[in-house]
Amino acid sequence: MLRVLGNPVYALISVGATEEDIAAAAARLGVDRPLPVQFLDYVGQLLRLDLGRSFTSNLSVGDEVLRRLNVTLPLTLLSFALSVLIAIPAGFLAAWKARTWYGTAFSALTQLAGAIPVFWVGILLVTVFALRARILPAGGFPRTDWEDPQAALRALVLPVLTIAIVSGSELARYVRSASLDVLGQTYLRTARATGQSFAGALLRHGLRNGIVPVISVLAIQLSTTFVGAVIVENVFALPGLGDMLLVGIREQDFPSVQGVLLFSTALVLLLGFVADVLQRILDPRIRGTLSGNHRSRAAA
Amino acid sequence: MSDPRILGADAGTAVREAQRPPRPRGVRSINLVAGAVLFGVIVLTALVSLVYTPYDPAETTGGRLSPPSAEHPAGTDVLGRDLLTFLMIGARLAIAVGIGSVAISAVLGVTIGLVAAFASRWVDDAVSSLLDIAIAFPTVLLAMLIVAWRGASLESAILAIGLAGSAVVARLTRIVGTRVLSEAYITASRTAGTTTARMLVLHVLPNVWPTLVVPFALQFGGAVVAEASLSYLGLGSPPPNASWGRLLQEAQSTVLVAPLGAVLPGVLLVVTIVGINLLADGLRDVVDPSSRSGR
Repeated sequence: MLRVLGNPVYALISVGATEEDIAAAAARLGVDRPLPVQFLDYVGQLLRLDLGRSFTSNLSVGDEVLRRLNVTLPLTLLSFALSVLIAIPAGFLAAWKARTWYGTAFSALTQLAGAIPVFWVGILLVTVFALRARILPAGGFPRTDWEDPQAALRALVLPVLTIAIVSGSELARYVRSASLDVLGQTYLRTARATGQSFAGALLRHGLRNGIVPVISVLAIQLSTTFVGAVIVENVFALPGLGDMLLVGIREQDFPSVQGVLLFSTALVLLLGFVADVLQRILDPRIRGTLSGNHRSRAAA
Repeated sequence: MSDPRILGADAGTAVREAQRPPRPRGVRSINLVAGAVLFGVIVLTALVSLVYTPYDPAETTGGRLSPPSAEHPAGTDVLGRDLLTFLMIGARLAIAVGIGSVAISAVLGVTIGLVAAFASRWVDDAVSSLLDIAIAFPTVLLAMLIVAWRGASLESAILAIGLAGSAVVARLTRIVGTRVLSEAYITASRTAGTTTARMLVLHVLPNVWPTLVVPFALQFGGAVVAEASLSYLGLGSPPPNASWGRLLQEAQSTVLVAPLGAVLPGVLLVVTIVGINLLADGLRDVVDPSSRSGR
């Protein structure tokens, strides 16, 4: 699709290039061929899991994506883990203590955190912890990559915090509403009446019921975290996928842009699929409906 | 509180209380009022910026990065341009982005949604599955794709965000539309010989509309954030029509010398979004009084 857009040749040639230079550059990129041919060629490449070569650096896009994942994947997973660790207890407590000061403070805080753009959180954290207090690096990633794990981790602390604050508060709101739902169910009271302890009943019956809607949100949340990483990488000058995408757009390096977007889309769809399967495993009631899936989720 | 039975009882009370019918309207509409005030300030700023800004956006009158003064209430940027002027223009852009992208989502989304609701089961399933995929695709990534295609401009951003939002609107419209179509008054109207088009305008749209008001308001806020992110990445509208996201990006490198530049645009963004979210919350209570406070 992106093959149609703009002329990538201009990114390669210098000022004063002759007609022949332009034609040669176009031939090298293969953009002088008819568009349908280019497209079919690209699809053929994809089937061989080959994302092509970058117009500007001539490196394999697939290799570059994998290399960039060294930064983006840890960033995404760590942020996600941290936000889940914060969100589940915080959200559950907020449901339990719904009408206390904690519940109110929780609502106000998550409302506020949900309204703050993720990159601004990043700027503020950099200002406070890196520029003023000077306890953490303001950005960049060690050249040694993960050979020096400590330095690599230090570079990720602020980015991870940035994403976790924003996506954690969003997740916490879902956890709160799922917990509110469970806590109000009569089966909990029935379980208590059969002599189970409150915690036991909650773990045995509440968790399994409450977790189903949360799982579909978790998958969405993991993809938002991934997109958040794409933006936040830019705040902290991290050489990840987001950086690759932006540079690609700026330099009209379509194979790179396509590669990153295709990879991200595949990842997002895959996560959605895994969540659907998990939900079916956990909740037998959803299992029977095949095509009705979007209905049940939409109704929730 | 160490007795688990008491804990359990407590939780029960709390939940029952949370599920109680809504408090009287007077208390609940605090959200509406607070939201209207916050959002109103931004809208007012945007309107004023149409007829008056303290300086010309391109005018480099002040010293570079000067602190707030009588001439420049919010200080100046790295080129000596008045920050207040830019903040006001940013408000105008934010409102334009919100209105523009919500309008696109509304027109496209409601149309697709109604088509799916009216269509045969087969078409409906196909459209719904496509919508599911479209919704799973992150807005910012879609926006980047469109910016890569059309170049960075305000219109690209609005178009991209509007397109991304239309999938959500379409799915919602389909659900509400299907429900409305099964109502008795639709059957009655059809029996009376009303044409499909007339029925759409007279009966379906008015009944679908109220459900969409709140999502539209929320989408407005989401659109403003998305545009700010794009602008921050350098993919939004170029200066002098700089949005708040762009201002933040430019101020990031000089945050220690001139902290206001990196703080004020962010504060305005948050005010806008909290304002519209509260407004949406308040509207929800007005439109649908049966909604609970727990979300």
